[in-house]
Order: sequence, then structure tokens, then C-alpha cells
Amino acid sequence: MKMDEQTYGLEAIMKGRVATYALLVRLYRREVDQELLDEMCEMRFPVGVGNTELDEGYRLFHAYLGTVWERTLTDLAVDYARVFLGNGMNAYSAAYPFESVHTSSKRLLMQDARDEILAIYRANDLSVPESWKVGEDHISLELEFMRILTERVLRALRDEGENDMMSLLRTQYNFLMDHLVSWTPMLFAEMMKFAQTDFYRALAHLTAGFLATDREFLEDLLDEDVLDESLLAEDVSDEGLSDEDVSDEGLSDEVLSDEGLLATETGVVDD
Amino acid sequence: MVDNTGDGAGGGTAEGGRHIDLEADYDPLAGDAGDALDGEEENVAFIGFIEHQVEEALDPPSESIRPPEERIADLLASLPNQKDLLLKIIGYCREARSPGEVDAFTVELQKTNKSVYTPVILRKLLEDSGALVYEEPELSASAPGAAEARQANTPVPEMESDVAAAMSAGLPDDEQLYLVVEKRVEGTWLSTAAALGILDALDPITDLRALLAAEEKYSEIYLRILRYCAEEPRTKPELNALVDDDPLLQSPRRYSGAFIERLNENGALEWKPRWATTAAGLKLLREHDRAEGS
Repeated sequence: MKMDEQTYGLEAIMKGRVATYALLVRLYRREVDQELLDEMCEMRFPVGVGNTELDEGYRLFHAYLGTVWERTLTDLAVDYARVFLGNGMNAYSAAYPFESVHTSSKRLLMQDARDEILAIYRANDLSVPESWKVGEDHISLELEFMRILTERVLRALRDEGENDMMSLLRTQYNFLMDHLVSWTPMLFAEMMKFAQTDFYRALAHLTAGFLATDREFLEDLLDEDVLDESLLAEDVSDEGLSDEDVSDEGLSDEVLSDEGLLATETGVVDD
Repeated sequence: MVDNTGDGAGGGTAEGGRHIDLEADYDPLAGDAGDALDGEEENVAFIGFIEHQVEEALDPPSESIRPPEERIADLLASLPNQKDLLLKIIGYCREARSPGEVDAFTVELQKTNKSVYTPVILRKLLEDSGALVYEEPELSASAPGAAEARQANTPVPEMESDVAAAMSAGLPDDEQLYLVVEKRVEGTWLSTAAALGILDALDPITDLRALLAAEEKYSEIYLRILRYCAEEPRTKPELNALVDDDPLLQSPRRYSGAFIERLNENGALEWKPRWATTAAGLKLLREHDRAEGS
């Protein structure tokens, strides 16, 4: 990679990735509030970006946000609960946003996927805050992981740490392929089933489209040699973790580094 | 489908034996089982109410079929503590009001009538009961299909119109087009004729007279409270001290709260933020004083 020629363009792309991941994290984390709604109403939505999912997501968001009125926040809160929380009757009552639900045979929380996710967070010097009371394989945390790593890529880019940057990008690609890309299509299908507002239908389309384009972007950035299977295996994020690292107790405070996964009151994690 | 005759549509075996025709489409309603019921349909029973109310089951009556007068009365009766507030909102919206105006009006009233209901939710309750209607603004000034798309499950406009909207925003063809969210033009809230009919028909004096007549034994207590609060707004302890020791309230034991509540429900007392006699209460007192004088 020729950093001198590409740094400027890459930096802009990485900033865009950070912003998009941050928005998605927020939208999945909890209901829309007035501040977020106002911000979204100020956004511009591109037309004809070349990805049908993205186009549909942008179109639906634009159409819905053009109908905002005094009861929109209530409508969205109701739909958020309908889509992601459900009535709790069974494992099929909502589009549960946890990887374990979609990758375990009985659609249970806290299964193998959650343990793997915890291990990956820890391997990357990240931990989940105590205020986080649900499974760590929640889509918003997985997206937050991608956001944080993208920020690290940005820093590496600015510091001209090419090796660090490529390593981070490979970690991102592995995580994307092993986790987000593998289970979110099922989540999006269920979101389309349960959502009764175009807002959350748009979110499903937008996330699907963004993850697809992000995957293509990472594949373009990491050439075929880098994506060699052996190299991927070597770079797997949970390398060298002991069983203690993947305990039900979560990650110990000791793991928290200056780049630790931190919690804010809103539950959005940051580094 | 399973063909037992050997001459079915799928073509039978030469022996006319049983075979499974994988080519033919399976129709669960066709075949022998269905034929067996021919001429016996009158014996077919349905479970439950569907037998007699098929149409109703398919298209259940909605709440809106009930007259708004009934629904508004139910709402007022189900929220006695909010009744006065709801009626004032209805009165305020006799003229078309913007959501912001109704918000400000409601918030002001809620300073002395704490409630978990936000102004928006109160308006929803009133709208659902048929007391308020939201008058849409000119749709052309808002996003395409705004009014229709407000409701859940309503299709949003097609891409072509969105693109057209972006184009009309002045973006050149050779650059990336963006959809810009146009702020929806605000509508207005207006009270319905049914709600205004209920409001105008209210006669607190009649209700108060009925209250005193129904509880004649305690009419003096009611009037004493009204007179006391007419002098100046009073606190609950002051009203306790006024009537709780009265011999009339010793057996059966009653306290000021019961009387305050009834006077409040009937529009003679209001909390702002102490108990004060309303105009209707003052009118009742004058009426009573005239009757006493004559």
C-alpha cells in the first residue's frame, strides 16, 4: 500500500466508517430520542450509491423523517420495543439483537457466540462496562467494536503505522466475516418482519448495505495475499486466550487499558 | 396427490392400482374427502361465535364505530383527576391551535395538576376518543406522502419522487444526489363538535346542587369548606382543622379529604396550588346565601 498517496483518501473513508458505525451503534442501543431525531432530520441521504440495500435504507429513512410530527418519538419507542424486545412469550417474539440467539439451536442468550465475542474484546484490550446488563454479543456492541477499531486505524494512519493499520484492518475483516456478516442477515430478516415503521425497516436495510460495502472495502484494502487463510488464522483476534479470559464473569478490570471499552450513561461504549 | 381410482388426472397404472403422482399439484380441498361432504354442508358446525358472526370475525367492529360522545364521556370518567384538564384543552382548541400552543397551555395547567401524561399523550387520548382532530397542513408543502406515511404500514413514496425531490433541490446531475429531509409543515389541533357539545352542556352548578341534595346530611360541611376556600386558597391541614373535629363527622368517621375530592370532581374546588373555590363554587355559595336570606 502506498500510504503517501492514499493517506488523505483513507482518512476520509475511515472517518466516514467511524461515523456510520457510531450511528448504527446508537440506533440499535436504545430508542430514538429528540436529540438524535433532530440530528437525523438534518442528515443528507445519498441516492443511487450502487448498493440496493443502502439505497433502500436511505430512501426509507428520508421518507420516514419527512413525516416526523409530535408523536414520532412515541411511535419509534413502541416500534423499538416491538422489534427488539418483543413480548417475551418465546424466542421468536422479536428480532432479538444478540448473536447467540441466531447461532444457537434453541435461540438462547449467552451461548458460545457470546464467549467468543468476549474473548475478542479482551484480546483487543477492551472490556464491557458494568452498566452493560445484557449479552455482550448484542449487535450494538459488535458494531461498537468495529467503530473503535476503525478509530485505531485512523490513529495508526496518522502515525504512519502501516503495520499496525494493516493488522487492525485484518482484525476488523475477521470479526466482520466471523461474526457480523454471519448472523446479522437473520436479524435483518426478522427486523423486516416485526417492524411496523419504515424507520426500523430502513435501519435493517442500511445496516445490511453498510456491512456489505464495508466488507468489500476491507477486501479491496487487504489484497489477496493478506487474506491468505494461514495469515488470517495467525491473526485471529482471540489468539492466546486462556479459559479464564472467557469466563462468565466477564472481563476483569485489569484488562482495561487506556483503550478500554468504556461505558457512558447511555450505554454506548467508547474508547 | 394420491389417486385411488387409477384414472386420475395424473394418469393411473394399467392395473388401476394406487400410485403417487408427483407431477400433479396437490390440492388439499380436492379429492374424495371433499366429495364426501357434498350435500352435507348443513351438518358442518363451526366453533364458537364464528358460526353466527363470520362477517364480524373477519371485520371486527372498531372503536371508532362508537359515537364520539360515548368515547369522550368514557375518557373523562376514566380519568377523573384529569377531567378538568382535558376539558380545558378541549375548550382551548375551540379554535385551531398549533401543537406548540397546546403544549404550552397544557404545561401551564399541569403546574397545578401533576400528571404522568405528557401533553402529547393527552392529545392522543383526546384524539382517540374523538374529541380532537389533527388538521393536516397543505401536503404539497411537506414531504411527499407525509400524511399517509405517518401511519404505520403505509407505503412510502417511490424512489422516483425522492429523486425528483433531490433534483428539485438544485443538485447538479453529474454529482452525487442527496435526499434532504424537508421539515414537515406543522398542522393544528381542533376540537370536534362532539367534544364541544359535551363541554358546552356541562353545568357544574347542577352537578353541585345534585351533590348537596344527595348528601344533604353533609351539605353544611361542603358549604363550610367552600366558604373557607373562597376567602383565600387553603392547605389540606387547614381544611383538616376546619372540619375533621366536627361532631357530624365522628360517626361514621369521615375526614376532609372525602369532601374535598367530591367538590373537586364536581368543579367547585381546584388546586392552584392550594385549594381554592372555583367560579362555579362561588356561584353555588351565592345561590345558597340568597336562599338562606329569603
